[in-house]
Amino acid sequence: MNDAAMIEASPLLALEGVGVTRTADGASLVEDVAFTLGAGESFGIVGESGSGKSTTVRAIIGLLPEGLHASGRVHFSGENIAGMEEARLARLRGAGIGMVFQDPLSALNPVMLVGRQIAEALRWHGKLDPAARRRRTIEVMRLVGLPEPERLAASYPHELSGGQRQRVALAIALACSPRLLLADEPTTALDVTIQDQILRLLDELRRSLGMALVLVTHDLGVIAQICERVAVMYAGRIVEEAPVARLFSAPAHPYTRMLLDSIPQGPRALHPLAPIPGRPPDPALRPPGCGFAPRCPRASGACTERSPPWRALGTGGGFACLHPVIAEAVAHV
Amino acid sequence: MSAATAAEAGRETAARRKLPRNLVLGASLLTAWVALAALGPLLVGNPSTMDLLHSLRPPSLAFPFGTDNLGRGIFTRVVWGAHIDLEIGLFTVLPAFLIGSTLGLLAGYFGGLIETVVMRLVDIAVAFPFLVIVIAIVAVLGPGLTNMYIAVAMVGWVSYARIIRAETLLAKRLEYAEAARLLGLPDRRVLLRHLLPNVIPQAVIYASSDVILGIFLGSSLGFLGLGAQPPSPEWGLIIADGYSFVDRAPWISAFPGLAIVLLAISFSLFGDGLADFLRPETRR
Amino acid sequence: MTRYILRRLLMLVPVAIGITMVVFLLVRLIPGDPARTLLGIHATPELVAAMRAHLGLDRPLWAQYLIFVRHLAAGDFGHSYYYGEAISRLVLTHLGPTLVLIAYSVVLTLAIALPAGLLAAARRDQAADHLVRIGAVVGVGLPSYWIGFMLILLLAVTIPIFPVAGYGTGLPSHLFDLFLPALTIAINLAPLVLRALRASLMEALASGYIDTARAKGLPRRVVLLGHALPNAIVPAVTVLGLNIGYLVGSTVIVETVFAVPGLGQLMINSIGTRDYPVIQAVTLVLGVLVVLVNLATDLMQLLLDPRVRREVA
Repeated sequence: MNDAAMIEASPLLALEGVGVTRTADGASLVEDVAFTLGAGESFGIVGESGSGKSTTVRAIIGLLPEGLHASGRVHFSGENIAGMEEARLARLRGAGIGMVFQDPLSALNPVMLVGRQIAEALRWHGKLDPAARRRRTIEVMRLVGLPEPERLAASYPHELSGGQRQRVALAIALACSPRLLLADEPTTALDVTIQDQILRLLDELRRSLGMALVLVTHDLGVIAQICERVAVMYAGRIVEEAPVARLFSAPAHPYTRMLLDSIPQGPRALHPLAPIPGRPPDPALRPPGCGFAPRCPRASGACTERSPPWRALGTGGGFACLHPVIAEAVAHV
Repeated sequence: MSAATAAEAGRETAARRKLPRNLVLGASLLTAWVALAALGPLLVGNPSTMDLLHSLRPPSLAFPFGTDNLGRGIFTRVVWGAHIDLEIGLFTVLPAFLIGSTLGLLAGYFGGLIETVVMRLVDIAVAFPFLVIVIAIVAVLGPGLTNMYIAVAMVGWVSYARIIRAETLLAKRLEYAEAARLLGLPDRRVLLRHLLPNVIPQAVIYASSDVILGIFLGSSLGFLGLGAQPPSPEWGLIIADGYSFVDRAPWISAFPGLAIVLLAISFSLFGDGLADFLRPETRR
Repeated sequence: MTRYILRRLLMLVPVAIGITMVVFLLVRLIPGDPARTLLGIHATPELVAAMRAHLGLDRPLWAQYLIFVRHLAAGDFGHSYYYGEAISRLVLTHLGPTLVLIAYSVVLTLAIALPAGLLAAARRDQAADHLVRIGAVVGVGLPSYWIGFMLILLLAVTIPIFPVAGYGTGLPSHLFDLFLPALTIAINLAPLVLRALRASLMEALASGYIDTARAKGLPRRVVLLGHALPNAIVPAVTVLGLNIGYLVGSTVIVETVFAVPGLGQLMINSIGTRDYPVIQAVTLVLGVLVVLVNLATDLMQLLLDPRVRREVA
């Protein structure tokens, strides 16, 4: 591919060889993660807790917890933002890339009025005057479906319900109209009915605002509901990536297969994963070779020798496995 | 897990556990201080011997910490002062510890009127600034170390009473104490054999840090002229003497101050280490 | 909220009774005739008789206490035979410097503890953090009369910037002259506040709303000052409130060291002259002061934290 073609096809977000290590013991939490995302696209990352999915999205905008170190390249709008100095990265956060987090109870500052928390994002990015900031605050609150925005803007977070708080968190993330929204398990902490409302809202907003979405979840049902493409992570690596339809109809990786099998009533069910035998390995004690090998029914001796290479599939995506559930995958090609 | 069972579990494993580094270091330093206080006075001569020919001398080989306006060696006085100030630490803490622990134990175990009276007294005592009420009591009793000990005991017991009462309330509900009472053991036996050993570590930990507060208080009163009286080489008193010579002989006040700081650090290392040792679950 | 404040004020009643009882009994500790004790050695028999009637000494102890409280309520603290003045006036003239010193000490304490706590929390486990923590351990371990000495030695004698003693006239002069005394207290007090602040800042910085604030694109300093600090300040204020008794006690020593004409100095001087009614009055006033400052700290928490406001509403 020549340079001109690359610029033409330049995706909104492209991760290349992204890794995260723990400084204390050098344990690798995320390894060699790569994926691309076009403008307005929705991309899901699914995996069990400890698979490195949250760490990966945090690494995208440099919000790793203390003691973690990221490597690799993260291109946003063609510019490598990995390892960018903090002040420049801060200008990008909120403005170009917004983020919402798992727990709406702790995600809002308890001693600051809700309206101010939304307006604050505008203040540091836009050139809006105070009156315009107030208007935009109310507007974005309405956008995320908050009732009586004028009244709620003058409330403290503890005066709001969980669902309302997550909508406020979303309003904060959307205030400056970012082109990419990172959502880290945005519905996990909510009641089931509220979960559904928030997911629908995310999907609507993505479509109407033309914003790209990276959604992290442990719930394949959520992925099925609002994502176009999906990456499955296990033990810090992407083991499979596919368009959502293909993933559900013809998974290639044995782990994906087991994930799907653990959902009792088909992909649309909003059930949490039923446990798969065994547990993901501790990052510090990860064995050589395929991380899933110890739990994998198809594993052979070769699986424990080196990491299986990435095999691309014609339909987009690919997988990393020496013994894929290939018949179905190939048939789909 | 309740504090008392935790304390029990802590004691069980204490023997097998390595001693905290703070505790070893603090205990060594304190041993050195006690040795200095006990043996030092035998070695350094009389702290009150005046030598007007050698007054206000700066530190030298003959006078390691210099001399004061009366030609008394500050080094000699600081060594003797260690004896006095350690004694102050002991006598400010011990009566408060004994009175407070006893009242706290009785209040926690029996409840009722004893508890009400003890806790009301506690409420009143903590309303006053500690130093101010001690000074006020010394003021009416008259200056001097003995009256100071009385004054501190009158107010200082409340901290121990609070701690021990709270611990006793917890320990009382535990099975072994219930069982001991159901067996019909006399109150005295339940209190002394079953409750006391479980509740006292908290008071001991508090006392280990209270000693240095007692020494600070004692030397503060000495400094104000309400504690030890001249010509006693009590550190606070030496420092007060040195104030008049701050421009000509700063060593008079500087060295006893350093001594207090070092003693304070020794005690706080010891106290932290002791707390780690007696309740390992709070170890950072 | 109003109900909470009223309830908090109501809780002061038993404390006030306790304080007045202690102060009342204080003079009764002295062997001999309280009337003579209060009047001093030069009192004539007529004066002593008048005083006995005034105090109600022929009545039972509880009645004497009621008389004592009635006098207090009328602002009658008695008369100082040494100063030849009504004690209420004496206390008022000495109250000013002590209040200024207390307020100044709190300001300097915060001026040291806030930046140092922020620095330690922002540079956790780095050199600056270790330095601040060592400084804090040493700071609390220094007796105030020795800090005062070293400050005089350094900043009044060796480098003569500040006066060795005094109070000056007019607020700017008060603040200049009281700098070393207030700093003395702050050096003792700041480490306690600093440690509480560092711990609560660490906790705040690990909270979800800090992630949200950073994800908004706020500069690091705004995250720390605008989001972490407002959440971390309440525990620090609480620690300051818990140590108000210690602060007020320190003023007695520091006023003596720096010859500040405040209540502490009045008290120490009156011990020398056996001016018992003055000692009694100062003890009472300092006790009440601590109670009031504690009340103020409680109300400050209402102001600082909307969650506490809701809890009490």
